[in-house]
Amino acid sequence: MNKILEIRKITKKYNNIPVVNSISFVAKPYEILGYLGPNGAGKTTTIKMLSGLLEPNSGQILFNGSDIDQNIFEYKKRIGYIPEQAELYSHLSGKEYLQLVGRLRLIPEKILNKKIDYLMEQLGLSIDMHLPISNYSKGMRQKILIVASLIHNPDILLLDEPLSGLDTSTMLIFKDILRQFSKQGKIIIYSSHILEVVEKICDRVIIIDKGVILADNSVTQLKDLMQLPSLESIFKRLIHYENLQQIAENIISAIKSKND
Amino acid sequence: MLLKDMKIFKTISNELRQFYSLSRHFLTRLFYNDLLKFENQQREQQIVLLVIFSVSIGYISQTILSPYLWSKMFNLSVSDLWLQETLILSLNMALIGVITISNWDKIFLDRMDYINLISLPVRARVLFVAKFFSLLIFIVIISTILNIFSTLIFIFYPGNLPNFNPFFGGLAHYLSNLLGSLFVFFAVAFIQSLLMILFKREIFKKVSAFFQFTLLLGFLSVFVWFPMVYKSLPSLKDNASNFMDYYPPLWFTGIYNHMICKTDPILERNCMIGLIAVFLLVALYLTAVPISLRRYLKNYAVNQKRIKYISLFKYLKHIFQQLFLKHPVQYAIFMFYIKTLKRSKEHKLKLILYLAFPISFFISRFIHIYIKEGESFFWSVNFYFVSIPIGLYFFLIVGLRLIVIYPIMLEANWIFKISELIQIKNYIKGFKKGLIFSSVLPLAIITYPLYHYFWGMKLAIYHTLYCLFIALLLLEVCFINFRKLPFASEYVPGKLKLKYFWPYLVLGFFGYFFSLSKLGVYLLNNPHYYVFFFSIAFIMYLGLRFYENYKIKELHLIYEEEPESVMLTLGLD
Repeated sequence: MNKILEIRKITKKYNNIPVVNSISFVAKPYEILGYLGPNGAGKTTTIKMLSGLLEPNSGQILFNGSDIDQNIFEYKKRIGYIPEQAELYSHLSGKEYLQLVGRLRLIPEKILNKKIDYLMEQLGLSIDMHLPISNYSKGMRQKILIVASLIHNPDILLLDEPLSGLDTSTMLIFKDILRQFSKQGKIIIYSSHILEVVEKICDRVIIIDKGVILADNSVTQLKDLMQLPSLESIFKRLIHYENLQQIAENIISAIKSKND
Repeated sequence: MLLKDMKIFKTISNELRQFYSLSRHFLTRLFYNDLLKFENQQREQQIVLLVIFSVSIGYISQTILSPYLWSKMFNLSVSDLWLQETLILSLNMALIGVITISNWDKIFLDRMDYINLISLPVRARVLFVAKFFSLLIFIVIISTILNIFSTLIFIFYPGNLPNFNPFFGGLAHYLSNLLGSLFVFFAVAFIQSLLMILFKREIFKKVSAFFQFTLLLGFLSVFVWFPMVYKSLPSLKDNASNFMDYYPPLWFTGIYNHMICKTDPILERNCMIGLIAVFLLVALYLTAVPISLRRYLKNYAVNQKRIKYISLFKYLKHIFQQLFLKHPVQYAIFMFYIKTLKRSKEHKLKLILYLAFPISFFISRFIHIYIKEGESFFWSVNFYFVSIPIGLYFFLIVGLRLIVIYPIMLEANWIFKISELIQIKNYIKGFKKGLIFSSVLPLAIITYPLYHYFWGMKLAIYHTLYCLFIALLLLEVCFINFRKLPFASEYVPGKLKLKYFWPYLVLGFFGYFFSLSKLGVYLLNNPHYYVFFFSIAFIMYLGLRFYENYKIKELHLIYEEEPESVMLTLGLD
């Protein structure tokens, strides 16, 4: 039976200001759902609510028809999460961090260590895996996060800017992993600013701004509906970003005037 | 020619501007130490702390110099002031030592300095001079604040002595303490530079941390053992003991004495030693700074070698895990606790602060009794010898209870939140096993050989087991209802309400310490009663464990502290 993740009218407020305002959508298996929006649109807040890190003020998150709060432990066992910022315990080494995650995720020790060694080798981290994370570059930290989110073979992947800092080859590998996971029937929610990537790998796109969904459809259908050539132009139209060029010109003139 | 002069002038002026900015930057960084997290360090707190130290030194000065108000009655002269000066110098130098140790990583230009500054158009000479200048200013500021009250006392209290110039008296006190402070600071810097030269980068990190904590312990111990030395100083001086040459504060007492009376040949010699020592250490520091730069450049972008596990160690680790930490969550929390305690300087320094006084107290008492009574004193069962681990366990467990609540990196604890898949029992079990295997057992292993040497195997085992049982009970009591992850949950200052509860804590300590030490002596003299003690202690331990298991009803761990009720009623949200 295919399992779905359903979000029903969830709202999250900070200081009484709604950051996510009564959002509803369904994430299905066999599709990669792109979640787009400008800074402060509410993307990260939504992903955090889906991962159980934040509690919504109202609304429900249902997995396979039942509220995730009813059995949060079971739900957490099934999710893999990559946060927007790679906040990792920097006093631990890469391997130690992954061991911590694997043990918390109840993976038997032997399997865990084999998995970690193999995955780190595949991602080119085997030389540095005993170094403290404080010595890692942004890309290396991101690789650790990727391994940490996948190590338990989750059914739901919640990805918040997962490619930031990655080198080109790892990016390509990761995109391929996502496509294969999607084929296996995993639910993937992919939040990002990078429109080209979203356009290429996502089957469906949700565009949000100021906590409200503006569009929810496949990229092809959105292009047809709005009669626009690319996701970028759709995004610009929906977010009212037509005057971007003017902003760029303003910035350049401000920089020039300071130097002269 | 004029153009060339203009260029030189512009270069100098630019360098001076850079020097000014850098000196300010380095000086500000020195006021934020390694002991506390940056966000926990408020300038007001630092000022309050320095004023407390300053007033304390002033108060001690006032107490020890009060007889000089009636100098004729006590038949005192200028040449007697050296003793009081030595006491203040010792305290001042120990405090400067503690402050220097808390700035251990900032004595030389550190990794952050190099990363941020080396790419900027700043000449190395400007960097080094600015660093040195900021250190000098730092020591002058700290030393001045610490001695402001004591200087006033050293001006006015001996004021009616014949041949005493109050102005020179105050100046001599201030200068000798300043030089003493510089000596301590640059002596610590010298030790660090020596380690830097002797060891490779990877080993240096570990050795450096070891020295940092040992020196901190050493400086803190001065406050415990110095009163004993203070009493013996006059006789040591009368007998022209070698101690007079080897005790650094006396070198600076020599400078003080030289400025006010120049009467004593031993102190005159010490004055020269003091001046040469300061000069030499500053010169050594200046030589070591370029070495630190070279070292950084050499190691920059060089990967550390992969640590190779010794197979025997790996095998033992596996057996240990199979025996005690079979549950993966317990193992995860156990390892996180151990690794964090091992690697977090902030937490280690805090623990050292809790442990420094009892350790120094017991060691100094041990040495004192050993010298006074001889080895035979320890062959018999006595209160002092029996009480050592009992006292240490109290400070160790209470210290751990206090430090585990400080998070190491709060923003990274999302991984625990997202991976919390089972109820909290196993998290707490893993943590408690970490406490037992990393702290309780090692102390027993350290103290056992001492008892074995003096009392033989049987009594040593009895007493070690006795202390272990006490420690386990104490641990259960101290961590009852603990529902947090060590080093990973939020901490709200003032939650422990130590300012209200400290009298109970003190009373509790004395009650615990004296009753259990007396019981320890009694049991050692009547070993057949151990069976009763162990049975009762075991039942109590099981009772506490049962109570704890029964009480754990919460589904989730606590990551965020509930604010105090008074904060909720402010109505600011």
